[in-house]
Amino acid sequence: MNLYDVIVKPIVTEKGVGKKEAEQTLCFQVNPDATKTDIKGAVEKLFKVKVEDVRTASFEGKLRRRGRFAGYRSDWKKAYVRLKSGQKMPEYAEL
Amino acid sequence: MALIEGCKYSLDIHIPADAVSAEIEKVVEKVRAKAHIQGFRPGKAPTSIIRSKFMPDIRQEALENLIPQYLQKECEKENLHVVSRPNVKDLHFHEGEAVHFKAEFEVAPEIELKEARGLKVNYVEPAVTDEDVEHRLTELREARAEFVNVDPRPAQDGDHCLVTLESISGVEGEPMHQDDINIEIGGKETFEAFSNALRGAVPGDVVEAEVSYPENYAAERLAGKTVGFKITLKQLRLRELPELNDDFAKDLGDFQTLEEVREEIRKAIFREREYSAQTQAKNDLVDKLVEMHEFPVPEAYIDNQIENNVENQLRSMKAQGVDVSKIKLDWSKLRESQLERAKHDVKASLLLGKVASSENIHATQEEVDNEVQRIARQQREPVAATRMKLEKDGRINNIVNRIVTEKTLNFLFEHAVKEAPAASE
Repeated sequence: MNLYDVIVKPIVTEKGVGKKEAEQTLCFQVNPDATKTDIKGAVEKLFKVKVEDVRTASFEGKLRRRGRFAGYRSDWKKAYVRLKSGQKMPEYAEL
Repeated sequence: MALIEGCKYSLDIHIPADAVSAEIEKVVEKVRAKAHIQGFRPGKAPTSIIRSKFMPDIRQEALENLIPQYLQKECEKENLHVVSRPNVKDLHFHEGEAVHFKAEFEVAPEIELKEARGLKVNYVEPAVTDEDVEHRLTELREARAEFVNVDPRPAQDGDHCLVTLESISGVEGEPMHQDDINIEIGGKETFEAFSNALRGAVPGDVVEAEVSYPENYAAERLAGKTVGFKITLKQLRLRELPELNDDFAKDLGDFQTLEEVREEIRKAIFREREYSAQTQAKNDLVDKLVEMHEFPVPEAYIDNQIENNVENQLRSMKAQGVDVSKIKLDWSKLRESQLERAKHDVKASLLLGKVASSENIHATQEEVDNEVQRIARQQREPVAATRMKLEKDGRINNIVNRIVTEKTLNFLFEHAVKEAPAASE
C-alpha cells in the first residue's frame, strides 16, 4: 500500500490536540484495511519519527437518509499513534 | 515629519516589534474566543490553529488597531491637529519585525488672525420715505379692494368685466369654456385684444376677440397659439379701494388710527431694509476677511463642504418634487464647479470660528434654549422632546454653531467702520 493510501487524514480535534500534548500521540483517520504495522511504517516515513506503538479502532459508517432513501457512510478506522519519548512532535500541516 | 504641500503632511511612523506581536497576540485571543472550528468547542481551539487559519484577518485587524494609535501619539508629539483620514503608504509589515509606514494626512491650517475690528464696509442706515409708506398703504388697499357693480353703461378703461369666454377657433380638441372670468379693461395683465373688444360694450353684449398667446404662456394648451374667443359680457364692475381713514386702520387689525398703521408700516419697511442691508454688509465683511487671510485649506474640508452643498441642493430639489434618483451626478465635474465656492465657504467658516474664539464669543445656554423652544413650537412638539431629538442626532451642535456664527457676524458688523457706498448706487 502507498503511504498516502494508509493514512487518509489527520484528526484535528480537541481530544486529539489534548492527546498530542499530554501523551505524545497523533491521531489519524486511516484506511480500514491498513494494519498497525502499515500505519507505524507510514507515520515513521512521513514524519521521520520513531513510533512506540499504534492502537486502532474501527467504526461503522453511520446511517444517513435522504427522504426515503437510506444509505451508510463508509466504514473507517481511526489510529492513535504513540511516538517514542523524546521525539519532537510534528505538525500535521506537513502531510 | 515632512510638509508635502499646503496643509498636507507626511509622517514616518515606527511601531516596535514587541508592540506589534503583543497586539497580534491580543487579536488572536479575541478571534479564538469566538472562532468555530470543526472538532473544537468555540474558544477551545489552540492558538496555532487559529493563527494558521485566520492570519491575514488577524494582521489586518492588528494593523487597524495599531496605526491610528501610533499615528495619534505621533501627532500629539508634533502638535498637529489632523482633520482628514490618514493615507497610509509604504507599509512594511512582517511577522516579528517592527512596522514602519508613511502616513499622509491633512492638518487644520494655522491661521494668524489679523485685526477683525474696524474693517471697512459699505453700509448706510436705510431710510424710509413717506412715499414708501404711501406705496405700501396703496398695496394694502388694493389687496382689500371690493368689486362694486355699476349700472349698465358702455364699458370703459378701468372697468372690470365679468364675462363668459368661449373659444371659437385656434384651440385643438374641446373648445374652451370658462364662466365668470374677470377682465380689467386696459389693465396691465389683460391682453390688448380683450380690452379693445370689450371697450364700449354693454352688459349682455356678445363680442369676439382674437388673442395671440406668447410662446411661454403658462397654460400649455394656449401657448404660442392665436385663439378666437366669443365673449359674453355679463356684468360691469368697478374696483373700489377702501377709504383711507381710521376705519380702514381698524379693519387691518390691532390699530386704532391711520397714523398708527403708517408708523407700523414705516417700521416694517425699515426692518426689511435694515435686514437686507446688514446681511449684505456682513457678507461683504466675510468676503473681506477671507481676502485678507491667505492660508491653505485642507481638501478634506473642501470635499465635505461640496458634499454638503450638493446635498442641500438635492434636498431642496426634492422638496420641489424633482425625482432626485433620476439625476445623475458627475462627481468630478461637480467638484470642479463648486471648488472655488466651497473653498471660500470653508475659509469663511474657519475664520469666523477663529474670530469667535479670539473674541470669546459663545452661545449662552439661554440662547440655545430659546432656539430649541422656537423649533419645538414650529414642530408642535413638547420642548423636552424636541431637545432630546436634537441632542440625539447632534443637531444641537449645529444650533450652537449657528448662534455663534450669528453673534460673530454681529460682532464684526458692530466693530466695522461703516462707510456710505460710493455714489454710484
